[in-house]
Amino acid sequence: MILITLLKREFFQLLRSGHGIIPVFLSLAGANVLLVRFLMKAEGTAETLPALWGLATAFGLPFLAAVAASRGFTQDRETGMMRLMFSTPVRARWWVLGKVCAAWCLCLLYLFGMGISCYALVRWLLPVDAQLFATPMGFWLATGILILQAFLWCSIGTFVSLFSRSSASTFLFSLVSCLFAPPVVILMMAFWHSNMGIQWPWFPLQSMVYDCACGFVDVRMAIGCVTVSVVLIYASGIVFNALRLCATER
Amino acid sequence: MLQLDNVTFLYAPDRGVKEASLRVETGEVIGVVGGNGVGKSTLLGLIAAALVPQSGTITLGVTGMGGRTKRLLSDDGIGYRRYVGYLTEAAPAYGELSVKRYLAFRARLHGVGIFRLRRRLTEALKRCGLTPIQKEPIAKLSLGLQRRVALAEALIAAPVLLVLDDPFAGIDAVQREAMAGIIRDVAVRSYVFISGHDPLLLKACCTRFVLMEHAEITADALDADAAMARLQPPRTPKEAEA
Repeated sequence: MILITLLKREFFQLLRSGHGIIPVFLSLAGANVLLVRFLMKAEGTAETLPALWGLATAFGLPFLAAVAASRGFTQDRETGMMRLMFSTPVRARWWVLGKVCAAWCLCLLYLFGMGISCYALVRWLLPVDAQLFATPMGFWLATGILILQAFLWCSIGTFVSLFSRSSASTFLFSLVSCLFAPPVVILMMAFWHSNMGIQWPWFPLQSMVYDCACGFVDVRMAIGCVTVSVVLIYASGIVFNALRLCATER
Repeated sequence: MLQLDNVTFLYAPDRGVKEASLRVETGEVIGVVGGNGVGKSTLLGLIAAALVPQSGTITLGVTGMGGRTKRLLSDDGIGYRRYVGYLTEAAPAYGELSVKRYLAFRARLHGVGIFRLRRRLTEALKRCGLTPIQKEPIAKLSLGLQRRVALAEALIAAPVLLVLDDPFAGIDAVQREAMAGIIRDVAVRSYVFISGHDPLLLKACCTRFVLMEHAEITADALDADAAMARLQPPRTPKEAEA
């Protein structure tokens, strides 16, 4: 019940703030532009629409999750709410889960919006014989993996917000860790081990969505997403309690 | 009974709270007074379990329905926090929410069940004189009314331990008197801590004063005039003559 109370509160607060609807529209616009670009580029090839849709959506998702989750604890710290939260009889994990789930719900709204825009694209813009659900299994697999990834991005953003003192720095750090950390790591590995960079994709999580839409499910990556999310939520709870110990809410 | 045993929480060697010991009985209203930066808010934060003592313990004795008294430690889980009502110095609230919605939200977090919620809300709103403005967004209220909302929030879960950090800051004499009346009513069955700079302002509701200087409790069981005398700087011979 505590989680539902917190989730309702956080989600509606997020929707009303500048971290809510506007970033959803911006992400939708960006992802749709990307989708159209992919479609134009893929014309005449065997690439399926769900795969391109999944790829475009996966690039917009970290941006939105970073904005939504950056509000997290940073806002409470700015308004002086942290001290009141510390003395409330609610366990740290519920505070963290409430914030992660609120940002995640916003990401689900974005996924729903992408689904609708894709449907509109097929219905009115693409040739009559083109079908979104040509490979329905691929579409739903991509959606499933996107939902898991959204949870991971939101967990990262919320974790970062515990350390940061402003929403802007939280957003930047979350975005960098969500989107640009894998290519940087791969670049560094390619620098040290010359043949490793060629084996791995630059954006592994986005590529995973593409592969899922094509019917190749990487179960290890999916389990990895869930495990890292759970670990981050647990770690966020510990950090929240540690803040109470050292009074850095000031 | 509420007992502090050598409680220490230091930000720097002379900032925070150093080895504070205190014993409070039900019905007592303790005024914690002192200058700026002597550690009043830190002491109240520790008592409200918003901070964890670096050393020492804070024990709250709570008598249950069967007459059995259980002892709760401030840094041991959320049990202690269930009995605390806390008004922080900044008195933060979610400004976009209406008074009633905000209080309902906080009451749910304090574990007030759905069946008790309506009664508790009505009581808190009536007690703090917020019934006519219960549908107003908090952000649109004056500072004094916002502090009253924060007080109502501290009272909503019927706390055994009420901690009020500078509750009279920035409010006029009429509202101060109204708030003092509310605190006196609650104090009958609770332990109340109030911090402030001026003992004479707290005189209306406090039964005992504790003086803090340089992160330490330097005097206990003072009355308002004695506390005021201790707080004022020593007079020069010229001033004394005048």
